[in-house]
Formats: sequence, structure tokens, C-alpha cells
Amino acid sequence: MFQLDDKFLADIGLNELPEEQKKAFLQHIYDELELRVGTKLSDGMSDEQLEEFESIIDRKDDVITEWLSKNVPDYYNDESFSRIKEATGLDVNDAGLRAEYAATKWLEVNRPDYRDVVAGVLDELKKEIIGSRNKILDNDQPVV
Amino acid sequence: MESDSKPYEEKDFKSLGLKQLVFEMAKAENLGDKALSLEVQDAMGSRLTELAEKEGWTSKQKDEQADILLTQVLKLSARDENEATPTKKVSADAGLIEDEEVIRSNPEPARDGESAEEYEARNKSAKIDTLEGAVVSPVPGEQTPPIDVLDVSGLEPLSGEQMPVDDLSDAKLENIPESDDADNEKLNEEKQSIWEKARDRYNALSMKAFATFRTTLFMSGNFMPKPKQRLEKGETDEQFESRVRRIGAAKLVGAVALIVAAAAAVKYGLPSLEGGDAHVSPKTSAGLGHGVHDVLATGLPGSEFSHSAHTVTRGEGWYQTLKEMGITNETDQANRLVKVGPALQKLGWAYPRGNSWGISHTGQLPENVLKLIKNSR
Repeated sequence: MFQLDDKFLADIGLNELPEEQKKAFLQHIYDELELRVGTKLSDGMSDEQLEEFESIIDRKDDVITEWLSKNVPDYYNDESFSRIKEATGLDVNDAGLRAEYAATKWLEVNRPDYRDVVAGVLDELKKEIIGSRNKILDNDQPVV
Repeated sequence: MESDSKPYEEKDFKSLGLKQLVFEMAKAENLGDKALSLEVQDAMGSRLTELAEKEGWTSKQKDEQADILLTQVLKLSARDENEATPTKKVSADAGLIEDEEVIRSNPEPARDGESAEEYEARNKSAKIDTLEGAVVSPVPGEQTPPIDVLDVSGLEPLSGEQMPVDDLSDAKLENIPESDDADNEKLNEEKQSIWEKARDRYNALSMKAFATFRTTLFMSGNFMPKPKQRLEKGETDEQFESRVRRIGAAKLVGAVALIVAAAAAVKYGLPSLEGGDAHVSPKTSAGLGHGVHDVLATGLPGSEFSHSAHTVTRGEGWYQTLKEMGITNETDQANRLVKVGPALQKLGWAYPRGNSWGISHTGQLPENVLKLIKNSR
């Protein structure tokens, strides 16, 4: 396990970065992770699937209702639904709760390996950064 | 451990009102400091939560207000020369109809170092909403707009319901200005607008994602292919539009996947992620309603302290934590903090800030830290 913090920077040999640049660099890494993970996860998905996910994020209730009834009809009894409900304190019929649960579940249904993908991309990125260490330190600029 | 050398760490955003926070976030966006922007946004979220609790808002009403605030930020910030253009009239996908008069009176984004009051003085008629003091009627969705921003917020005046989000294909294109970018001058207006529309849609969705997952890490839209690349690749309009939309959607999928897969919140307010085997237990991958920071906040069995007391979010200070522990007397809070500050520092959770102490990083405060504070009287 690694974390996007000082220890992570030390692990990849970038603890020499000026303090004021560390935060921006870590943010840049996170941005890059979002794009790479998303690109990999969405690879092979149809436009319709992606639009469905966007609609869930967009809280389109008709889409969420249809998706839940089709994929998790008894979601009220799903353990993860209960956990999200408990953590958020939201009512079972709250639109935000349903959207959050549906978005999370959508990932599990459409890309059950998403955690592995995240891990793989993280490792790739880490290796890339290590390979570019000198360049980064010379230029003080993220190159990933 | 954070040091005092970081000005953004020293700034107590929690003490600012929503109006000021909108300015601070717009300035951060304007400077391209997304981490700072997130920090301000987090304070904004906390302030909004306080207000929602005080006013008894439903989550829908709270989400609407969050959208309004972020819309204000987008309008005030001008990080990308193509973004937040003062003359842009319609953000159709956001369902936000902007008032032309207000836009005309907001000719410039907030400047670095400029306060809300200074900005308003510079742009005499430009007023930024605070939402604080906003009256929300008991009727769900219906709002009485005591402050000027609601005039441009996208709330339909009769029912108070948010304007429907138009489909991309229905987006209104008039008055979208041509870019100054020399590379884009080769494109005709229609081709340019594909990118504009996709970005507007993406920004609108990022606001929704903010309301759900409290993340706007992808707000800037700088990752999207530029119109110039359409020429380079020899794509048709349809191919370019499809690619732009897919990349926007992919970024959205990636943002949510990282949040769901994240295992902890750490220093710098960024999520920590599982590497190596990268399997996050079901217990830690759920309960994300409070955002990235709270991914471990699914309950600490056996703890005598509340979940909120254990959880440190970006911008949170010790006084908030003490309050969440049930220590509400301000004198008592100050005394305890002075007493245990050095010990908390040794544990890596505090750093000296003036005559008091700041919280070193976000995450889950261990039981022993909370007990230390509790027993410090």
C-alpha cells in the first residue's frame, strides 16, 4: 500500500522537491490517475453505458430507478447500501443516497475489476515517475 | 507534518463566510491551484452543511445550493481562457441561464489577493451571493431569494425547481464567443462549439459529482482534447464530438473509481490509494457520501467517540474536533488545546500555529488521540 503523501514522494525519490511544489505535484499525479484509470475502465464500454453513468451522476431519477430495478432490485437489503446510508445519515429514499449507491454499484457491475485496474495504473504511474525522477527534479515540473 | 511556511495551511477558511469562500475558490481556480481550491471548497461544504442543518434543508435543497455556489465560482474564475467567458450567455447543460446584466457587470474574475468586498467595489453592481441567511421555505425545492444571486441561479422562478438539464444536442449555441487561441481560429464556429458544449456538460456533471462525492478534482476540463487535435487527427465532427464526450465520461468514471477505491485520506488532503494488491475491503469502500476524506468513516466499533469526532476533513481545526467530541465550552476547548498540543504534535497530529495548534493532516483520528484530549482537563 502507498499513499499520496510525503512518504510516497520519498519512495519515488522526489522528497527533494521544494515543499511548495509537493502539493501541486501530488495533485497532478491524482489528476493523471483519474484520467488513466477512467480511460482504462471505460475502454470497451459503449457510448450508451457511459451515458448511463453520466445520467446517474447527473441524478436523473428515472435512469437511476430503472438501473437499480434492473441490476439490484433488492438494493434496500444490500449491505453496501446500508453502509452508505449509515455513513451519510440520509433517508433511504434520498436522491443523493440512491445516486451514490447506484454510481458505486454501476462500477462493480460494469467493471468488477476496477480495484485491480486502479492498482495497476498506480503501479505504472509510479514506475514512470521513478523513471523520470531526474528530469522532474531538474525541471521542477511534473512530466507524467 | 505541515509547517508554518505554507500560507494556505495557515488560512482559516473555516472562519470565512460563503461569499468570501466563493471568492477564495475562484481565486484558487484562477491561479490554477486545484489543491487550494479543494481546500476552500471543503470549507465551503462545511459551511453549507452548517447552514443546511440550521435551516432544515433537504439534501436536494442543499445540493441545489452547492450547485449555485460552484456556478458562481465558475463564473468568477477564468483559469482557462475559454472558460467563464464574461459574454457567454447560456450554459445549457448546467441548466443555468445567466443574467446578461449580471454578466456584463462581472467583467473580470477575482484577482489574487482581492477580497470579496474589494471585488464588489471594483465591479460596482456585481454582488456575490452568500446564501447565508437565505430563506428556504418548508415546501421542498421552493426558495425565497433574499439575495441577488438567486436571480441567476437557474432556479425556475415559479416552482423553485432547478431548470432541466438539456441534452447536449439541444444546447444553445448563440453568443458563445470564438476563442482567442490562434490554433482554434482554423475551426469554424460549429466545430469549436463541440468542444465548448462538451466542456460545459462536463462542468455541469462535475458539479453533480461534487454534490454526490464532494470532488471537483476534474473541474478544469484541461484534460479534454482541444479542437486543434481534431484537425491533426483528421476527424469528422462526429468523431471529434464522440471522442471528447468519451474522454469526459472516462474522467468522470476515473474520478469515482478512485474515490470508491480509496482507503484513507492523508496529508495534503489527497486521497490515499491502495497499491500493490490494491484490494479495498468492502467495508472501507462504501460509505462515501461524505467524500474522499471520509472513506474510512464507516464506523469504529467500540469507540466512545462519534464518527465525526474521529474524522478530520480538509480545513477542519481542533476546535471543530473538540466540539464534535462534545466539548463545547470555548474556554475549556482553548485550555485543553494548550495543554495537549505538544503531545498531539509528538503523535504527528498537531503543529504549532501562532498561539494555538493546527491539525497536521486529514484522516481518522485514532482513539488514543481523542482519549488524550478527553482526559486532558
